[in-house]
Amino acid sequence: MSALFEQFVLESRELLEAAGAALLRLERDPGDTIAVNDLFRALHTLKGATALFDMAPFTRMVHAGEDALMAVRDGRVAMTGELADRLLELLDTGAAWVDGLELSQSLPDDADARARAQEAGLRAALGGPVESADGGTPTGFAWVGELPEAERAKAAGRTVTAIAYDPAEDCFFAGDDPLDLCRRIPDLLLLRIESARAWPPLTNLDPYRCTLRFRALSGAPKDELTRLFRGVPDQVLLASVAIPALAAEPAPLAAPDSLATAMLREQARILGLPGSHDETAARRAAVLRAVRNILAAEGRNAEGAALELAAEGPTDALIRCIETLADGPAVVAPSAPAVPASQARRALRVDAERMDRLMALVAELVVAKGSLPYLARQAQEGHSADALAQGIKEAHGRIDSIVGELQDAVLRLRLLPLSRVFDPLTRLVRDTARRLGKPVELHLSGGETEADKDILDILGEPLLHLVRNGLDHGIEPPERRRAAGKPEVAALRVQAFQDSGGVVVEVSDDGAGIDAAAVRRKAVATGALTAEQAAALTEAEALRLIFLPGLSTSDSVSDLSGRGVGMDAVRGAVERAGGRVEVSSTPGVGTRFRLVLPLTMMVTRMVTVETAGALYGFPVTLVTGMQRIPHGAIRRMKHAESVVVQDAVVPLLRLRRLLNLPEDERERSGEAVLLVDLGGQPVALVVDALQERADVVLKPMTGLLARLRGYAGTAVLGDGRLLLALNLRELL
Amino acid sequence: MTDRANPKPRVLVVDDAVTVRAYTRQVLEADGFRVDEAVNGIDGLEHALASTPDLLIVDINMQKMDGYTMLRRLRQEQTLRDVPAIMISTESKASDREKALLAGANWYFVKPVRPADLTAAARLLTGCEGRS
Repeated sequence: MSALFEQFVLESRELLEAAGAALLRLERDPGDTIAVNDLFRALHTLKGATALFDMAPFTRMVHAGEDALMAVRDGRVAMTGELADRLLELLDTGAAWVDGLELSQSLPDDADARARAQEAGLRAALGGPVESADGGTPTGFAWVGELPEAERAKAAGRTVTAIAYDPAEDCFFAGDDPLDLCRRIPDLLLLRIESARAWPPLTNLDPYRCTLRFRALSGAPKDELTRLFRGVPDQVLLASVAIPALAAEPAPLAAPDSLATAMLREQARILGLPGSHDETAARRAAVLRAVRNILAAEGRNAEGAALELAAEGPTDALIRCIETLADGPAVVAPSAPAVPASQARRALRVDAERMDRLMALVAELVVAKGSLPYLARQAQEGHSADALAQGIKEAHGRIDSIVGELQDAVLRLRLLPLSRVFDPLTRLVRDTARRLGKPVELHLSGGETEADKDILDILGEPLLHLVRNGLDHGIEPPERRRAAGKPEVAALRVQAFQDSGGVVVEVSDDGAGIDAAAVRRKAVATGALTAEQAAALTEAEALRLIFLPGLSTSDSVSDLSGRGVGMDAVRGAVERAGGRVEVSSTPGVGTRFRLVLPLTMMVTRMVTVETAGALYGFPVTLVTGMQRIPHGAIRRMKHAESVVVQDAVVPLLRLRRLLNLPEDERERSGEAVLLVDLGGQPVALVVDALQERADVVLKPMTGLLARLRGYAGTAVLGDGRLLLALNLRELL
Repeated sequence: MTDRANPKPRVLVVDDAVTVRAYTRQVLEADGFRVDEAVNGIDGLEHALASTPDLLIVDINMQKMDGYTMLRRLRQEQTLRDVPAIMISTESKASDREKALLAGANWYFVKPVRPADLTAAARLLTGCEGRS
């Protein structure tokens, strides 16, 4: 795929999303003129982009949307739910086509038909053809208005008969000859032959079927043409249309070899345009330079003298001079690129400000680097070790702080606002709420919070799922809400904020809440837990059961949220990104899911621990606490150990045993314990010693070592020691 | 191979559609032009003031400041009033062409523009002989 096409795919997606968001705003507040303009502009830009490639149906469909919006903008029609539905449908079709284009670089076979259907739907939503005061264009003849000026020129200013002839596919068998029929149209002003739909592959082409359609303009009256087409009345549409006069004399057609002539004529015309003194003076300056350049480009420098002379005189003389130049010899040099085609570049969109910061830091680093040769010279000259050490320390301090900032700046290049995953929610909630018949108000906040692109990519799905789940299972039908004394319109909140080096996303609803007892029953029924185990769970622990595979919270299984596989997948995705998910719920009041994610996956913040002389790391997002626990507080039951943390019994594991390392023989009164959240299951992990936190760049295990599933990767610490990042879930 | 006596003409492309900018850049760079980009009228004004290009290629319908306004403002600057300008739009009506010329354009193209037309027009308006 060419870089240009890739760019097109990217931009089209963005435009379609922007259009969708604007449309939803517009539907909520039909008087929102900013939304109309945003939507219009997005479609307009999209139309322009599609026109760069050969995809006429796409261009036409978007054009129809643009027309409809123009009618809204000009107050000719009102924004109705029906019209919004049609436009959303159009955007959906567009989005599907863009997806297809990315894969196959062509529109689907039915694109033409789909585009036509969309156009028809829009027209219907607009209340039939929008007739303007001067008669307008009859249905089915929109193409007349879209004819390029050049093709319309012959009919300009006349009332003519427009002919739309769509021969039946099997017309040859009926003895029709559509082309011959069209040739016999009297006073033919224009004939366009188009394919009725996308061409099939050559091997499937049936030469005995007519797949063409004809569009024509004729100066003859409608009756005469009705007679001509009397054999095929069901396949032809005729209408009298007034072709508007061209506003000005048409610019001469710019055939390649007369572009210079046409341009010169246009410059002469520009000089005659009305305007203030300043405006005409500026135009004159621009025209003179353009004419000089055109002459130079044409190798007609000799004629420049005449121009300069005329430039001294009045405008009339200058106009005449330029007109003469336009008539003069105009030989365009053959066009041949001077420079080899530049290589297609891949673009990464980076905020200019961030790039600037990066540049500034690099410049600082270059300066700081300059102190090192100076220190080396000092060492050579035998300066005192103290002075040298002092100098090195200072240089290190400077470079260290710059490198730190540099690292931060580079990370920020990859940061994107969460609004990218928030924006699609508006549409999802609208559609889903409509389908379920539950009025819902979506409150989005914190969309400006930023996270790494990789994190955003992972976050999208779980977020959609949580929202869908909230709508489907959390929020009650309006009559139930009324009965419970709640406002009929439910509130669904999605908010994001930054929190100690990570990003928190919360999805909460004011619905029925999760029935912990029902979850317990389900867990027992599916065999995930025994009745005793289930009964022993705290309320919070019971809620977390919904993250187990195969547990659904709602008795009614709907097509929306699936069969409980979703919550398991949500947890999986969030944990893959190095984060965790929490749930809290109050029956009758609502449910809140909380996703805690690292800011980036490039640099992982690790809690480091020492065990048996080696350093191990755990992602900070999984660690909920660190504690020293006296031996007396550890309970033993057979082989299992446990400890009470915040009134909850937590299983106690020993890292040495998990890693098959020898037992810790040191004299000690207690254990250093790391509290880890393993997907809802808190675990207390005994280590030899707790160490500081560290930001590390994890390198995944490669080769044979990649099979060691218990390790997430390795990292080199600032002091050169090796850190092994553990994947605790795999170790257990 | 840059011709020292005849450095590459600089073209400022002002369009809010990134695809159109990329397309225009590709076409013009392949023909030996240097291309700068601006994303709307205000950005275009700033770029033009900072670099005084040899040619402007300006879209009409843009956010923040449209092409007409930009060109009018630009024509008030002593250093920019005579820089040749091409306006490009999807509108094919004669009245749109007229508005573009009134705003200060030297030429008007209806989108999409064929590469050959674009480079031919750019060469003429910058005074480049056929480069070979």
